[in-house]
Amino acid sequence: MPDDIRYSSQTLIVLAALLQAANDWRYGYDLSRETGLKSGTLYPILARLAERQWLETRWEHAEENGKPRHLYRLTAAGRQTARAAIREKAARLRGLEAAYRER
Amino acid sequence: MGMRLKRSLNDFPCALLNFFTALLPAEEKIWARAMTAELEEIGDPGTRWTWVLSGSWGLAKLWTRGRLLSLKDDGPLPVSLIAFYDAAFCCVLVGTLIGQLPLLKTPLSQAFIPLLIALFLACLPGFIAVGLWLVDDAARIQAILFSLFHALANLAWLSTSRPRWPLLPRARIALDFVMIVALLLPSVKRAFRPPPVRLRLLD
Repeated sequence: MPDDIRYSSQTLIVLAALLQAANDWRYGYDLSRETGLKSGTLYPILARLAERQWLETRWEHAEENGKPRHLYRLTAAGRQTARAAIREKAARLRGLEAAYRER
Repeated sequence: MGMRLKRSLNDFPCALLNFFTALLPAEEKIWARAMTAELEEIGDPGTRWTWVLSGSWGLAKLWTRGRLLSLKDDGPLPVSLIAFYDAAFCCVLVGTLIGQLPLLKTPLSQAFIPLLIALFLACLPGFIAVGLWLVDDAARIQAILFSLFHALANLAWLSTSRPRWPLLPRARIALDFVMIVALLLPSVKRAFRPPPVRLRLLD
């Protein structure tokens, strides 16, 4: 599986949101509300994460009068990658902040 | 009546997303269905429309990415890029043609055949793009000829008139030249050659 995913700030926001309750299955709309990302940004990110097997997906059982919804959760590899990516980004930001203060 | 109209308007985003879902290949359909399922939870009409319009854009991105990746798998990268360029060129030509239609002064009955010919010509780079996508050697030769004619036409245009942006036709001639060279590369030619068939005489 290629590991060349671009950690855009939106991808990191999605990863952070999924990491918050890593064991829980999440709905797309809830993730959209939590992250503030529109569906057109959120779903391509989810698709890329699922393609790299960092995201588990499943269909919810249909309840009465309702369509089954798609659910998302990070896989073990996804959690590991997400933590590493967020840590790396935070370190980079801290470095930038330090450089800015030295000016 | 008012309630029915309101319900229909509320259902319209769902119908639109279902329409896009039907157009998508299987691997992207799942994401379109996931988006449609979420619509059940969104009550506010404005939010529903935002969800659908933004989602359609997202699906278009997923579709484009999928096609580009498949192009990359099927043929060498220069061929994929040329196919993409030709497809985009076709879209621009067809778009320009459609945009000019309201300016038509001749009755449509008289202009129909010339318009049909113009549409066919505008679609030519599109046909070539499909052929290149399918790694068809005839399309490679057509692409070379098309680039050659295009470069010559630009050259003629440059020599007979003063274009507003003279750099543009020059850049396009250079691009045509690069495309011709790329399509004549031995590695590209090899990619278009069908794999050899081993023949053996039966005992």
